[in-house]
Amino acid sequence: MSRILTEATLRQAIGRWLNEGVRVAGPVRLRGIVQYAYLDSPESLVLSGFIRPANSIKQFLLPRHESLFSYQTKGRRVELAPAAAPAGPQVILAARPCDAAALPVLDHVFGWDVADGPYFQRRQSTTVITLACQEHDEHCFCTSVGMGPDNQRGSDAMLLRVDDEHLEVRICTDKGREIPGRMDDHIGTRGRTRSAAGAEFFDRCRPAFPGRGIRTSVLEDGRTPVPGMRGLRPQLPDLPLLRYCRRGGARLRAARTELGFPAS
Amino acid sequence: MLGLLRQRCRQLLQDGTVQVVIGYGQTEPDTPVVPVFITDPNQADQLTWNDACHFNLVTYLNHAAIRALGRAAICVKACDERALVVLEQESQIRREDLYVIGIGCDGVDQPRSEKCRSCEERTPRFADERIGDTAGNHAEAAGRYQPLEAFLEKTPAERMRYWQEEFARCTRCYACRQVCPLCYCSTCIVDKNRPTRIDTSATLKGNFAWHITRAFHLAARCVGCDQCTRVCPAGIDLRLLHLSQARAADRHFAHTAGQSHESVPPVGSYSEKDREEFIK
Repeated sequence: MSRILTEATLRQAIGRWLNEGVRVAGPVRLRGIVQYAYLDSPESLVLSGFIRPANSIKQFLLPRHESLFSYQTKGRRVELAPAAAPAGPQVILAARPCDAAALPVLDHVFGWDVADGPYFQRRQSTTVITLACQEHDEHCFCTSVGMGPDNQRGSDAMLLRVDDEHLEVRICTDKGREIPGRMDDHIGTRGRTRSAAGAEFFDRCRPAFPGRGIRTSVLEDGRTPVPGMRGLRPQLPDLPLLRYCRRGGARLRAARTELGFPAS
Repeated sequence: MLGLLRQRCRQLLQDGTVQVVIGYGQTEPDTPVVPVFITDPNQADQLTWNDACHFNLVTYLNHAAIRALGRAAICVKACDERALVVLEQESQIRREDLYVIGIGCDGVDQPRSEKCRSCEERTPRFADERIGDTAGNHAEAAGRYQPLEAFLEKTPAERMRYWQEEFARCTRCYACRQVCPLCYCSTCIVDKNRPTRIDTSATLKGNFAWHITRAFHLAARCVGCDQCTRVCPAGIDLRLLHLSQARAADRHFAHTAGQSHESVPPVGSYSEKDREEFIK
């Protein structure tokens, strides 16, 4: 399922979310540095002109510090009370796909044996909308770890730039499915098909991602967006966490499978 | 120039003058420039030189794994060379154990990085040999302390707010320490935990303690290679802290770190003539 919207309608939707009390986080330019932060107005969202923000989206799900509980002493008794529940719904908008891909990994870490309450409460009330990358620099390495500029791991919905004005919305999860509903007044042209928009997107960014091959999704009509990419297997990532997982037995192997890494 | 660099490194490895060449290289064409450690003369063609060679390779001299490779030849720019001088003054390296190839440099990055715009020294002065021409030393070099002076025009409250906002982003990854050629302590003060001297959690308080402590540990030692600012993933302009220390050393002790072997480092030396009227 995918739709096309204009950048202006996206900003209108942000304005509406902000009025409804939904916190919207995204890249903003603060003192010349692009950083993820909560938006105070739809105009402050920055969608282009940078490779990646200077911080990560983790802070919106796992703040560096938070109250976990409070206590009160009554005589010789200590009474514990859980802290107030984390604030309501939030949308992380225009996150980099690589940032979003870390979230399923975090989910496993915080749900390892005991599910971390505040983390999962925030996670459930957060919708992650990523923006596919069109540019990279020499420090980017997503294609070396089985990712790619439009990889949807961890995204509830993904925006792909079609042209200077239009963005394609791809829905990735049930949570993401609610998004167009919440933006329905604002959906613009629907004339373009997903495959046309997708192919155009990749035609544009293919020269920018040379070398190791892009792991791309398959279009609805079965074509791969980039000719010749069919059957390309991503390189198995060799990250410390995964090496650790490999040693960790069946449960962790299951975690790997669930994370979508091919069986080694 | 590149041909000469490769040829000289090949010779140095072949005749056994050195066992490893630490230089800038590309492992494959059209890949980013990375530090390379060449032990095989046949691989000397990996060496490269262009304006993407911004690393300060002096950092690697203190790595045990690099030291284990044997006598090293190291490629330095004029700015990196100052770190060699400080390490030598602090008895961290023995100059005779090292073969220094000085590379004439007209600046790194496009557009030129901040430090290059105020660079007054383009040709290494103490190298065993020099390779590459430069357009000559900057006559019209912008003042080194100019970014600091612009910053100091703000009120103290504004500066405090600036650092609070900047340090709030620091995640304490310690990349600034790891990349610094002069942060060579085998156990950094922040890693000492009996007792803990600096709060290691990434709180504003802990971050202030860390960055101010690091700046003071580099006072009159930092040579301004700007690697810490370059590697900071949070984009914190650490250069401003180090410039303020450098300017203090310059003003009060007429010392510029790494400028000459004769200038005595203010930290670690004592004279009854030391000025003290600025201590309040």
